Amino acid sequence: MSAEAFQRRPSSFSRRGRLLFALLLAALLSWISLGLSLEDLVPREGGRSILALFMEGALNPAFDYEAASVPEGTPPLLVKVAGAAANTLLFAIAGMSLSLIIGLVLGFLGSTSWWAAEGAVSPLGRGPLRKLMPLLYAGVRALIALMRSVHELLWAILFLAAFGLNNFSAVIAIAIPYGGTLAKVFSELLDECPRESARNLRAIGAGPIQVFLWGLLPRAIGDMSAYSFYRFECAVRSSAILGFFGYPTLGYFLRLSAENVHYREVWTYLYALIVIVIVLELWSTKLRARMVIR
Amino acid sequence: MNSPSKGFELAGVSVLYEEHPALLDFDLRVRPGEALAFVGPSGAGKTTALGLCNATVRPTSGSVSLDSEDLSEAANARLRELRARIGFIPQELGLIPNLRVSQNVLAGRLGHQGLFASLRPLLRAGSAELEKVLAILDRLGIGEKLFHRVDSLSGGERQRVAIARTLYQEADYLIADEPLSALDPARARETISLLTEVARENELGLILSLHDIELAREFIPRLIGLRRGRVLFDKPAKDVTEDELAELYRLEDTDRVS
Repeated sequence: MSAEAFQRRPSSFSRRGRLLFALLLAALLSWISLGLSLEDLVPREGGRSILALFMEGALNPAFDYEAASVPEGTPPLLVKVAGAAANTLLFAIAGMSLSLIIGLVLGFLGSTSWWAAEGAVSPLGRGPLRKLMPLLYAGVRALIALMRSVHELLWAILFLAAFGLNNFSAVIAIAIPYGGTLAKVFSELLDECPRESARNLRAIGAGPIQVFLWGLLPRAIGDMSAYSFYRFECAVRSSAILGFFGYPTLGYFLRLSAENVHYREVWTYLYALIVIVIVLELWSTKLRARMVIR
Repeated sequence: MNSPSKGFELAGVSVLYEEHPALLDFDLRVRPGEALAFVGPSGAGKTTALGLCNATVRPTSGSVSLDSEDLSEAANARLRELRARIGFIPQELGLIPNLRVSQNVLAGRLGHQGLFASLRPLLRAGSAELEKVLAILDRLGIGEKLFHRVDSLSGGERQRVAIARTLYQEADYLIADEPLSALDPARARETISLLTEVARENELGLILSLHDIELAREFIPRLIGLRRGRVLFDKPAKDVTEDELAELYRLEDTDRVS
């Protein structure tokens, strides 16, 4: 009997070996077909001076305009940087708050834990409608995939064409792909979190949304908020880049300064972005410590 | 709380898990306020029998009813109402570890509440509700833990939180799956004594599964011996003979499959 068990030893090595080989091959092929060579990273004659100028700016960011003269009534550079940073945050917050709602709703609908479990009471009831549950689930997963497979810059191009350069175009351009990504990760976190509290609440008569809010959400909320913080950081960067389309965020001014070869100003804007990200990081670390440890 | 009810009635129930029988042709009547325990080796069908009573396990054949109402035919909303009358403490207690004791106890009444009514206790419970919770916790000797997080409590304290939740639920029955399994002997005795006492005080029907046959005989008036999905005996604890117990726990090669 035990000899038989030994015979059934999984042939994991060969399968793992094959997978590893395929991954290595894919990496190698991509490098070869793109013709990547480290020589490409050696700057050319003209590029070298630009690079030097750019790196110099890093050590010596601007506190005032580099241009000899600026038009009458232009605010001081640092005021402009602060305003651009505030706008960057505003777009990120507006986009993120919308995507959190999308992420929570679709994440709930896209997780299997509230309907596939034994004895579960699904939102579609226990009658014949229950047979539609896999369909609803598949539809939500497809929607989530669609939302996040298009990058926020592409959404922005679409909405700018449709609605023009208004602030809402930028906010939903962020909210859609971010909502999709949050929904995917939320649904997976909800599915992975231990279900015994949820099962128990269900057994004493709680409805599906109550089970979700009381039994699942509290158990996943730590990981969910950590991930949301990370996404917020990404939203700040996206919001800055949306400035390239003309929104008054850091990207807009960064681009203008770069076009004028005012690299010291570029670095001032970059440092503002870096400071925002660092402050967010510190804040999230503090919050997480309070949530997890105790 | 005790309307003229007839309690649980299971008639000719079989439960198959992918052809593998967990319970076969099982009959049971439980009167309101009665205390009974399923005993028997692992894999005998004890947990399945408990699950039938709160409709978390569906019978493959036969019927399960509470006060003459068929559980497997109850619609969604009605099923919730019926489940709200039945407290349940699973083996792993089913508490929410990163919520406070108060919130865990307040969750006991979710089955009685609509969605919006149940949001308030999660976010900010009223003083009247909290006082009620505190009175129950005091009765169980852990009143000072009201606002502690459950994951900061000891195993015995958690067990009491689970009992408190059922009391706050104001259920008619309490089903507990192996409530003594993770406890040392002294604490096991204390817990079963507390369970039976609390059940008697609150006129709760008590339906347990137990592996500790000595404590079961001492504290529970009616024992049902289950072996390989069949009832070996169903009688007052004092009438259970040593021969019957030997038969109940007799080892066979196939029994080791849990």
